Amino acid sequence: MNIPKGLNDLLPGEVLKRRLLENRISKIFTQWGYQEIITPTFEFYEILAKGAGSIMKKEMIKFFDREGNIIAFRPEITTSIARVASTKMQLEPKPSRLYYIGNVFRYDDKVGNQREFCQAGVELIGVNSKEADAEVIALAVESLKNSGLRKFFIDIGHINLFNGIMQSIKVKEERKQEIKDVILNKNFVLLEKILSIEDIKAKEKEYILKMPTLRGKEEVLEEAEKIIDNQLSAAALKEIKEVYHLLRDYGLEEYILIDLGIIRDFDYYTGIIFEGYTDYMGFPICGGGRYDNLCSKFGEDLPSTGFAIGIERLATTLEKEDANSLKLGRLNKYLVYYQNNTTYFKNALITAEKLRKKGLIVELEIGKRKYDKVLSYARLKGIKYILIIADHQSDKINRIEVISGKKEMINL
Amino acid sequence: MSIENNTNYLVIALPSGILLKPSIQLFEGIGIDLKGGKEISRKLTFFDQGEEIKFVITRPKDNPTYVECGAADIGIVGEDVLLEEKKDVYRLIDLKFGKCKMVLAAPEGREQEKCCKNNGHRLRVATKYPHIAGDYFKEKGIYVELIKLYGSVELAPQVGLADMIVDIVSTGGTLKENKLTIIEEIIPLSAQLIVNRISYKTKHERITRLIQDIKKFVSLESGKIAE
Repeated sequence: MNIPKGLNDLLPGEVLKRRLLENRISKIFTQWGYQEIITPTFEFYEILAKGAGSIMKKEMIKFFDREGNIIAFRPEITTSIARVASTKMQLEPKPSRLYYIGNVFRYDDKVGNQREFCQAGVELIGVNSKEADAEVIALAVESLKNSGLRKFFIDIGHINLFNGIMQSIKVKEERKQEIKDVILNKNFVLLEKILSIEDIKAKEKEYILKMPTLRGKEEVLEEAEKIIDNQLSAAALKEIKEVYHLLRDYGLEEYILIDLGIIRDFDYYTGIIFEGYTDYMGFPICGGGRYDNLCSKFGEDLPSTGFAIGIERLATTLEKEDANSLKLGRLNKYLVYYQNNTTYFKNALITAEKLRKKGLIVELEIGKRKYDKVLSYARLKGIKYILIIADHQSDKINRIEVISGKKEMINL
Repeated sequence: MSIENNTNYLVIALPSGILLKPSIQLFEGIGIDLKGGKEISRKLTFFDQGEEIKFVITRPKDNPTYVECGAADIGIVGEDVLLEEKKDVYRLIDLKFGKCKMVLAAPEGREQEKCCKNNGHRLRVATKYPHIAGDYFKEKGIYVELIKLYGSVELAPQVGLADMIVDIVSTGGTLKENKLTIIEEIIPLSAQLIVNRISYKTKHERITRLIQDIKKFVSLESGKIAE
């Protein structure tokens, strides 16, 4: 009785933690004015492919529907939201602030990765400003903080740091693609080899090789200024600086690092990009950036930015940081037990209902079991009190504390 | 995995097998005393107080897995492993040792008729590297049947399991013993230093310092060989 590879059942205890984490995050999203949106779990492949790089396209899980269309499970949710924003919400006043929490699907078989996993994220649609970039980064910090995470960094970079140098170096187009690919694959051994055989200026070589190593506070910008030799990259650097200063105004400096080596999908992002890291996870726990060209693929020119948090990765990190960070304060659970007499049944129902109205969790014994059986069941299920109904209609009821066995007459 | 809970020291994963000795020499070469690696192989983990570095030894093929999920910050791995199984790690230094090549080889005397021509019967190729071999033949536009083996690939043509093999060769001795000749060299390979993508950021300074030392050592060593 198996389930397919890469999928998971979440049992009640895990679901409690999951919902707790989701609530912590969605609360912050909501407070910042973001509204939840739900899009379909699967869509036409050609729609989802508009927002997918070559790797993502391969990782999509596809099938044919009855009409013969190619359908894919969403590998991320931003593309679906861009579609909705461009086709159903284009008349809404801008900016649109939207958030989502939902499962996404990929044939991603890296160790520890699942084929179905949960993302929570926001999209800020219709504004191209530094303030918009800073807002989503600040929101990423706040939602991670509010999730309970203590130590983490958000690295900010810019897609044009590399695009700029790629435009200015004089090598063949296919060679450029090759260079982008090796950078995307983080293969600096091969990068060095390619750069050494190509006719590229020494300064440009230095820039390409040094860029991925520049990470830190503001001093990084000064170092980068010294080696940057093209307008596009210089403009990107200026944008990073401005966004960094805005984040300082937010008071979030301690969480932010400038990182000129962030590498994300070149075909998708158009501006500021960022990723979140912690000591306890070998993968980023969140990532995002500016994507000004996606909505125009659906017919509306809507510059946008956003991010997604990997919920499973965040949950794992939280529990590594502090095993209790996703523990709920326990609600006392009650079990109403009536002796095997159908005339007591009605009183049991009334009692249960009274307690539920008070906001308590109440189970009703339905197995007509002997009392000792019920007691051991209650113990295993973590039920705090058993109420014994031995009367037709009394407000006074025997309450037994399961662990201690202490008996008490209570008045409801 | 108790290692990953301790985030203060650097975890370096060394591969067992033929790359172990040069890997140990590499770290001793930059001044980390591993006492010839004796302690590592006994205890499996080793903690050098002064440098706050912990060494572990992994199976060669498992090495990039440790690094990819962050159980180790740094690893050393043969390029063949990285080519066969794509891993999301930084590949930072060509260590210039463990040099070998991936080749296509066939039994002596039969190389002509079998030279990548598919005349009627579908070629069978035995290999430990189905992805590398698959990509190679796909690029050539030749349809072959790949037989995945876990070792002693050179045996396959002798007993008729396969017509040819794709395997790594360092000196060529094993091929000769088994009367196999190289038809084509697919790609030259050597050991590489890999780093976890998050560690490279969170432990950036220490890793960069280490990398600079290693690069210096590697270019010095390869200079010696050139002389």
